[in-house]
Amino acid sequence: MKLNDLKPAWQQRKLSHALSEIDAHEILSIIDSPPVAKKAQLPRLLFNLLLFIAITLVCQGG
Amino acid sequence: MELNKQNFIQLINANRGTIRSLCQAYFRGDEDQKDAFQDIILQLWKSFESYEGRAAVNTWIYKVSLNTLLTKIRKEKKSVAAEPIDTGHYYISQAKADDHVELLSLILQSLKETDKALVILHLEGYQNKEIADILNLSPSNVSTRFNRLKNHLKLKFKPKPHETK
Repeated sequence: MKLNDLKPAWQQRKLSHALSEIDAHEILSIIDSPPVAKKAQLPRLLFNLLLFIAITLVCQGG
Repeated sequence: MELNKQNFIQLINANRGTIRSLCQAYFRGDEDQKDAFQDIILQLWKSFESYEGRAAVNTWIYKVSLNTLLTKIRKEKKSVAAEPIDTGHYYISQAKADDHVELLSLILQSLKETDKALVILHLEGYQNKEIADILNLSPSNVSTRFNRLKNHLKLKFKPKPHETK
């Protein structure tokens, strides 16, 4: 079998996935909102900082 | 709406078949495919301004999409696992037009992530050197992988025994 025989199948597959258009709002909602991971980074960073300060204070024996 | 965003939306819609097909080739569940689709759109948007038409649109779409998918899979270790097609050989000589679509799905399912990308880019008409550039591989690595792949497919997808002369 030659891989080239499957070229039309790949084109057909792409065509079948191109039937319904993507809503502009859907694309805008993706590119306009910052990734969730980045949003969640700040509270985690603050928590780790406070924890570090607390541990440092305790370990100093003060 | 900014002109830049309008152009981007048009470009995405013009290539929606490619992007969706790639997501489906790498992820099985609807949610995973949707997630991958969003990641690709975001990466395309991030590189949209620096793109400036230096490469063909199609090549840029494939480069960003495939690299996003491969990175996502490596990061999450979550993808459609390669399924060995050991339950018997698929008889290519019986295949009709629709069967080729099915056969393509079977082949893609049986391949590991990078090999899958190689096959897809080959089917899209890219030469080994271009494939190497898109996937950030060396041309010799691409050639070696292709030779291995061809042997694998030859073994797995034989012609029907009584039809061979």
